[in-house]
Amino acid sequence: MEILRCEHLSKIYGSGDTSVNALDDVSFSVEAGEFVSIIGPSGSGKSTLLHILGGVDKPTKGRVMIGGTDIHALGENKLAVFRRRQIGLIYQFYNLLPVLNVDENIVLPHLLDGRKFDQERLDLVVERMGLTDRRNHLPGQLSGGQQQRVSIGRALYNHPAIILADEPTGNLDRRNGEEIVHLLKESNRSQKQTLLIITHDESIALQADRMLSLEDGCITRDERIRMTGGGM
Amino acid sequence: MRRNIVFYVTRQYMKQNKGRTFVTFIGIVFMVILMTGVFIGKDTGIGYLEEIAALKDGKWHVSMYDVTEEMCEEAEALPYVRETGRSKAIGVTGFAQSANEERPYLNIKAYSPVCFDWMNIHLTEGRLPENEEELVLSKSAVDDGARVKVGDWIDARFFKRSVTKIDEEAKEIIFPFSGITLKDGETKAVPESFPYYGENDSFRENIEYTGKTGRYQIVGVIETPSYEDPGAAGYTAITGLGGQAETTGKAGLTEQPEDRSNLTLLFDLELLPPDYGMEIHDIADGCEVDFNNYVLGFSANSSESTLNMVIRYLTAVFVVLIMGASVLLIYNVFNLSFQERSRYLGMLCSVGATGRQKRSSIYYESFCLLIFALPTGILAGIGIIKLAMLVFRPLLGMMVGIQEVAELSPVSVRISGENMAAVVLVSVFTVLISAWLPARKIGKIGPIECIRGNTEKKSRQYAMKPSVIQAFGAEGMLARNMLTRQKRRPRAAAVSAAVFMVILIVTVYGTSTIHEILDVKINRSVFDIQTDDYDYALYSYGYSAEYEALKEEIANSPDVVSTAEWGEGMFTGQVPSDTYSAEYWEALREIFSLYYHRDITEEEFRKEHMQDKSVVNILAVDDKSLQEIAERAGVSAERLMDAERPAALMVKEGVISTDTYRVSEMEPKRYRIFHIENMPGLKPGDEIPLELYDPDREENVTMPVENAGIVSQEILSDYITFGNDNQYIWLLVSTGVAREINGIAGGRKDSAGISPMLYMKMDGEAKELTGRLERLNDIEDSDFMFAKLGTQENLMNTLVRIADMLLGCFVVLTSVICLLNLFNSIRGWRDESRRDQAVLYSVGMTSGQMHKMLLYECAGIFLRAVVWAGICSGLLYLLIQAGVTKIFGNLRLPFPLAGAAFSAVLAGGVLAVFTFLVHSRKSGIDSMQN
Repeated sequence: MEILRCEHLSKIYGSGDTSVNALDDVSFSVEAGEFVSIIGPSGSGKSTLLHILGGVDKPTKGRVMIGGTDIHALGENKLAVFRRRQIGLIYQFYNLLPVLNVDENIVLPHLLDGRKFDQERLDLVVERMGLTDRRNHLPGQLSGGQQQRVSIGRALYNHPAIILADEPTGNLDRRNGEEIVHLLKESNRSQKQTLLIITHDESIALQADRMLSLEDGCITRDERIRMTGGGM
Repeated sequence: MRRNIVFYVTRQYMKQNKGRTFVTFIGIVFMVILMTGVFIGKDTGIGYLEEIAALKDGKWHVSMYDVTEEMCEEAEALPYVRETGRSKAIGVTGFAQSANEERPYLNIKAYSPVCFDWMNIHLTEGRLPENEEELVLSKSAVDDGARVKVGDWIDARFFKRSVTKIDEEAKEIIFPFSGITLKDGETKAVPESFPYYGENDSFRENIEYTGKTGRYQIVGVIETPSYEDPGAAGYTAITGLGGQAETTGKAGLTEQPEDRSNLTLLFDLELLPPDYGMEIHDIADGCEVDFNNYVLGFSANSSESTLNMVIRYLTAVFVVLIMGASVLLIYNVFNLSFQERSRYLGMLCSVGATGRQKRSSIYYESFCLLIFALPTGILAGIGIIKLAMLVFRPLLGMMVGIQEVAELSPVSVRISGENMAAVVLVSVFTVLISAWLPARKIGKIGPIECIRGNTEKKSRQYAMKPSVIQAFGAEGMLARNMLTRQKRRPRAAAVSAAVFMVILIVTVYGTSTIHEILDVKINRSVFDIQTDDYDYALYSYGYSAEYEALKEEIANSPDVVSTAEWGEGMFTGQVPSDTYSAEYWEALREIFSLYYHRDITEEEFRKEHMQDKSVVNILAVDDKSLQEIAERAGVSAERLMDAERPAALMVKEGVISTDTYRVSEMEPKRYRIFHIENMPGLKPGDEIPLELYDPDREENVTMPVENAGIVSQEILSDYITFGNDNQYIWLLVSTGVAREINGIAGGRKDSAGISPMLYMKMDGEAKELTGRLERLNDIEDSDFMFAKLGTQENLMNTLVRIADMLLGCFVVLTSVICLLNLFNSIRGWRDESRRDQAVLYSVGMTSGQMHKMLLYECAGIFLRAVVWAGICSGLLYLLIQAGVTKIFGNLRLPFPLAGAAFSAVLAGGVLAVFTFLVHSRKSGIDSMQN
């Protein structure tokens, strides 16, 4: 079942002579539960694509359909609600709120939805992320790997339909990087969550079901590595 | 290669952060403008106010009367005396050309040339006298129809005036305005201002020729001098004084002894020592000395040392406030940018920059800003002063309606080297202090902390608070955590908001303090009846048949819309001393102690100074107003209206001070004012044994009046307000009771009864009626006076208003600094929160939720600011109050609660507006990238 489809996405920054074509007529679709890696050199438009898919940036042209909804046709508030319920975003630099502790950062999207958080679920996520003894710490008191695990915990807590990760291991050492990828893959497999991951690391990219290559804002390669949900 | 890489990096940093650099620059400019205002503007303003004040009595500073030549020489030799002038009272002569029978004399004085200018002598015709044979005549004589013109000669035959009692039936004859009491057969000399009564049965005016004569040519006519009493028997005429004429001029016939004259001094105010008054008194050796305090007061040099102290004290408070606000503004800017600054300085540090170099970066930035802000601020400050003075000029004319203001020479800004140096030094000092704190802090931080940006990390843990989430939602939790876990950002905003409030509160308090001081020291009104609804007033000596007839005619006139009848009876009655409260007598005992320069015991006071009886004032209140007052006071109006069983309301409060209560010729130890909360010593229902003097029976008659109730001035404030000269109990009675009182006390010109005042509102101009009533003023020996009501502004009111305006300007300019500070802090706070904001949007926060969170944060910052402002302004309030109380005693200076509430509301509003103004949605993507 198709969960994500983007059609003729273009993104142009600036105008006139100084304009930059970050994305140029990008179209592809992703099946539910699929693990897709997006690779490409710096400046190829990977992060722009992810931000547009995540609804935090708007395309100049084209549309993004998630679960049949054209997300950029939604109003500002509806898009925000859609984002917190359906999308989990993970960034290279974690983007945690420095004033919230581990628990609070993880349940933040849930709380923004005005719902009471589920303590059992929180305990489970914290435990899965290996943060049980750090849950009352602020991000500034955690290592990079721990911060990224909080970021993943935040993305997973709400059971989003789709997880978008922008170089989640880019700021981590090899061991921490592997742990993070492992967590994401596990979530993809066990929860059947769709996972789109941007990476420079070919070894991570090759762990995906499918690999998209981006160059100068265009998809240059769309390669299926294995069947969705398949093992290594 | 760059000579100094630290400075280069600093400059680049300043260029990158143009907004913040600009706001800091503007802040410093405003600080310099304020300093210019304080030091240069104060001088200019004071100079201008002195010029206006000089319109009242002249620009002289001190006059010494009847002093010897030796005294003059001694005074002239004082180092702070800039110029001197001499004058003499030549004497009184008959003025045959007078057309006013009540003013048949000339009071001739002699002035040295400078005195004409100093005493505000303005020519309307001719020229000033150049020698002792010429004189100028007061315009009042010409206006009264005197048969003289410029060029005429006046032959003077000088005499001395005295009065002798001839009415054998009268016990004594009192001239209250001249302070003369004549007993049987007694003869007393009268002053220059004494009126001419002509022949009468009570007393006789004697003229004793001194044998001295003179011949003067009228060379000019002058505006009536301010010191000329229109009720005096003589017009003013001034002749020249100079050279030999001083002592042996042709006229040479002075009322003063030959070896005595009057000396007028003009000081060099900058050289004036604080105790100059004492020195002048010492030189005068008991001779009369007059200080022109209106002029001297503005330069804090009045003979009233308390007033000088207050002016200096408040100037210091305002300078400290400006400095405090400026230091906080600049410090805040440096502190807010600490994180960014620490990164680039950390990088420099990692490649070998020393702590000194890091500190120098901060000082360099301040210096760069100051070097441009200082001249800009000084020039802008001078411009603003000029502009303000230009605005004041026509405003003054409008406010006082006196043409003299418009005649003043254009305002020039008074710039002195000292003041300029003070502006520069204080500004540089303020900026250096502001930069010193962050420089010290940044100099101590190592490269690693700088680069990692974790200079303030703490190792404590923070638990989640589900209760907060439940009560205030995610927005509340976020706001709380933002405020409590990352204190530096919102703290700067809270400090700025608190400073804004403190400045406003303290300025409002300072303004009310100045008001109170001016009110206490200058405005000594007794009472003011609220007459805004009326156009004219008819005053009468008593409820005579003529008055009643006139009143009826006025009431029935179609031209009159409404009337109100009040009556004033100051010093009308007497009451036993126990009618006054113990609080009153205690205050009076303290007043006596101040006069006697020692603590007078209660026993001594009772024995020596307390009288058996004391005065009461009576005010007859318009019936309608009395009914309303009675209702407000919860007293039966019917009881008050019952003239057959007289009843009165007693006014609760009173004021007594060393200024309003004099003990013979003694000087009090210091000024002190007592606000008496409970003047009456009686309870409602008690009898007031009111004693009235019956002039027909020539004895005191007791008229029992029931105390219907005690009424506070607050209840009365819509009808009547009482000033600071109210040392006696006021009894408020109905007009019916007032008529009963006048039935005993007379209510005539020569008796101490109640004088009715009939206020009337006209339907349109009512020219016929007002014309007829105005003619009452022209009738000789009239019992009536008719006058148009209106806000009669006097010079002192104007000066108070100018002081208000200056304080207003101060508040506005200081508020601008505070607002810049607040804006800058909020901008810094929001700038640093941008990334968090972007993260929040990325995890699905809606705009509404963001706004709600911001409101919660604003509320938190506001509450914190209110608490800090409350503490700081409370402390400052206590400090100012302690200072002023030390000088003035128990001055009423309540905490300005309304001002505080207003400043809190304003600060809260500004905080919210600025927060939402700088809040921008378009912050997300970029700030999340790094």
